[in-house]
Amino acid sequence: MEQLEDNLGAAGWKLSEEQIVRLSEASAIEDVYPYRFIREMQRV
Amino acid sequence: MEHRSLGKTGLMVSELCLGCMTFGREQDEGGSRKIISRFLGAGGDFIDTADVYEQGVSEEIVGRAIKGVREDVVLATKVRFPMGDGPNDVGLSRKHILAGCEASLRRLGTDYIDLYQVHAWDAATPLEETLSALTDLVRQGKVRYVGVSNFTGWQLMKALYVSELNGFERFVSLQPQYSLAERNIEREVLPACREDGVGVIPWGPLGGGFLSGKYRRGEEPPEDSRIAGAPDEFEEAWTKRNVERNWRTLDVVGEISEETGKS
Repeated sequence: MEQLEDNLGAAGWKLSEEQIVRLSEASAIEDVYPYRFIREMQRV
Repeated sequence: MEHRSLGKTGLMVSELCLGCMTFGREQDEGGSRKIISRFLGAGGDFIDTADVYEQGVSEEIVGRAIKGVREDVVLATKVRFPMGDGPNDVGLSRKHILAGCEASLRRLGTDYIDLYQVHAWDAATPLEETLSALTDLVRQGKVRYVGVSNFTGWQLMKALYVSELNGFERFVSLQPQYSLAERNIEREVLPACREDGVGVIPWGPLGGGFLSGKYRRGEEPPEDSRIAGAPDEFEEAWTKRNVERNWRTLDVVGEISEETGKS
């Protein structure tokens, strides 16, 4: 029940852009082929 | 609590979905019903369970808890994993899906399911058979929408293609594992969903509790915790969660928690 109360608190607010960037960097997964190649080559 | 449309359907669902896998397991019926009640009171309406959770007990508990308010709930369940020892008590054959749906409806105490989800791919059954059976359930009024869980990008796209080709119901949503501790769907699965407007319902947003802050770098997991008790082959197993990348993530989560005053 306590967990539900905590989780209900997830609604109605947002992280800042900067906070999202920090979380993304800390939790980043490996950048691998073919996704990396396709993304890099989109501009060509 | 906001509402959003599920994928590109007209179905409106609460932004938070209540997962019921632990009902009948870590959570007894009394506790489960209090949770469901509180969730509904907070404006939630999207409730997700599965036939396989405690071999039907989770569905039974949910069914009893929503008696009288069924029309206010968007009820989701699943089919594919073993519900018995027989060779047809598992999988996505027409036989198992039709029987599985009847059994779920009975346990849930309702005559329709809002979102019926394929729990995972079944290599032993052709997609055409599965989609044809699911389509029949929609036509019979037993199911409103169909979705999937735990699919790869190609499995999802192939299924959408088979539906287009045959006029079958299309999968409207995918339920993948997704959290700061498990982001692998970002490579291929999420782009596939985005491409065709398939809604995403993440499971395990806290990594099975790993991101809650009760687990610490260098310490054994607390004895009665879900992660401590999880066998190695489970997604929330300690062997999977206890990696440096996750501890680094938790460090940042902790900092942000301080900054925002949120846990």
